Amino acid sequence: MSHDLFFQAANTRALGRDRVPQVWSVSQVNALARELLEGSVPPLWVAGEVSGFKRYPAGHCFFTLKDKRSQLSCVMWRQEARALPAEPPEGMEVRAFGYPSVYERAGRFQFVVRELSARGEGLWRVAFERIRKKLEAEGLLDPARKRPLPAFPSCVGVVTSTEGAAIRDIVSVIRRRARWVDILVYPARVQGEEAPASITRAIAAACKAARADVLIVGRGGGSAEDLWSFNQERVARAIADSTIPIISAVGHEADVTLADLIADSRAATPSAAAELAVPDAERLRADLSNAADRMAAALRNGVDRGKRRIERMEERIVEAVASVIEKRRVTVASLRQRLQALGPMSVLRRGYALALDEDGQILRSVAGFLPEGGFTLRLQDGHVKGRTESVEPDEKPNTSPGERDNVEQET
Amino acid sequence: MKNQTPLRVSETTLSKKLSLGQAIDRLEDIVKRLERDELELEQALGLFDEGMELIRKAELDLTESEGRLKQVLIDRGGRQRHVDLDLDEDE
Repeated sequence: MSHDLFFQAANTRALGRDRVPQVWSVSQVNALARELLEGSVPPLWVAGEVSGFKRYPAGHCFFTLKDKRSQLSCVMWRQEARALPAEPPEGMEVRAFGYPSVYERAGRFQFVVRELSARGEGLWRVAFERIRKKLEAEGLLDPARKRPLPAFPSCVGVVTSTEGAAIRDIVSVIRRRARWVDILVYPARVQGEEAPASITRAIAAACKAARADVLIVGRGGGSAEDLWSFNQERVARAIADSTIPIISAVGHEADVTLADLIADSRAATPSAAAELAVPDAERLRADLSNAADRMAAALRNGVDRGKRRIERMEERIVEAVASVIEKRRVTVASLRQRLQALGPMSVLRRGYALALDEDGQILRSVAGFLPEGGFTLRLQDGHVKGRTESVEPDEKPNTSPGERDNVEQET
Repeated sequence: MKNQTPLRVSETTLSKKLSLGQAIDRLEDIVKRLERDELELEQALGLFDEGMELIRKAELDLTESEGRLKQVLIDRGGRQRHVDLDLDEDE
């Protein structure tokens, strides 16, 4: 139709007097109005205050823009509305880019909004706060939930794009500090509509594999929109659900995302995340040599302690042995005295003599003496050899052997 | 770190069984025991030897072993495959 309709209408009016006036349908009028409007006003920015914002189940959004004097009905179709981080709250000052049009079915004048932005990072901030409050209410931002990072990971997992600068920074820092550490990259889109799902999947895959001891999740810096994936509720929840401790590293120093708030550790940049994740080899070497020194010192102390103990024990043993020896010496001396007192020599000194046969055996009885046989008498100061002249046993042979028995026992 | 298998110091370098982290944890334990406890000399010597061996292996690990860099691809069945990741290091 387009401009044909317009000319038709003009002609109709011009020729109206002579002819039967052409009757238009409602649809035709609305279509004409829409054509005229869309065809003559180029897309433009309009500023105003949002009122009555409503999102319908199909995804289309309707609201009114107001200034002090007028109102403008606005519609944002699903396709465009999807890009909205949050629904603008009542009264928010926004700027809308779009074009005026007519909703033909209702014959309603409306402004079709292609893009809606609040001053500064307004809408992003609104969405951020909304999700943050929700997560906070569930206790997911509780500092007590944060897990410590492993001191010596053997494997670091990285969830990020394989194309950005972030992965290069992370790999180069880990290689410089801790060459022995394995790096597993779980590739993820980090911007655009698919990013949240992609990041969530990558985190889940890393947890399922359970190969990494710590996970770095992040990307380099960008606009609020670029970083938006890391403010998405599902990404925040994936981080909260992770079985592996996570270091978030999104953007630059100033950007704080929900991912940062919920992660176990937050690094300002991807490089800083890598530094948090792995120990520094130089420091480790120093620690190891320090450990060797401490062990050697402890061992020396132990040896010294042992030596002192041995010395003390030695002294005590010597003392103990000396006292035992002294005791024995005293005992031996007194025994010797007693022995000497009872021994044959003292008997001999008292004037007795011992009779021995030729083999040196003591003769206890007269029966041992053979007629004409030789014998020896032992006196205190020497021997006397003699020969038996006669043997005369006593009448009672039992009186003296008792004494001799005693003598024998003492020898 | 996940498998808390008993420590064994028989391989020439630290292995998966005895990660660097485990080695250093054990080393710290040894140093503390040597410093704090009054041990029998034989036991102290045993710990000292074990500690020195751990240090030697850990140092070897720091200098000799090179970690891998892989990217994980997931196929339709959800299986994960590790493939080399070449980063353009010239940037």
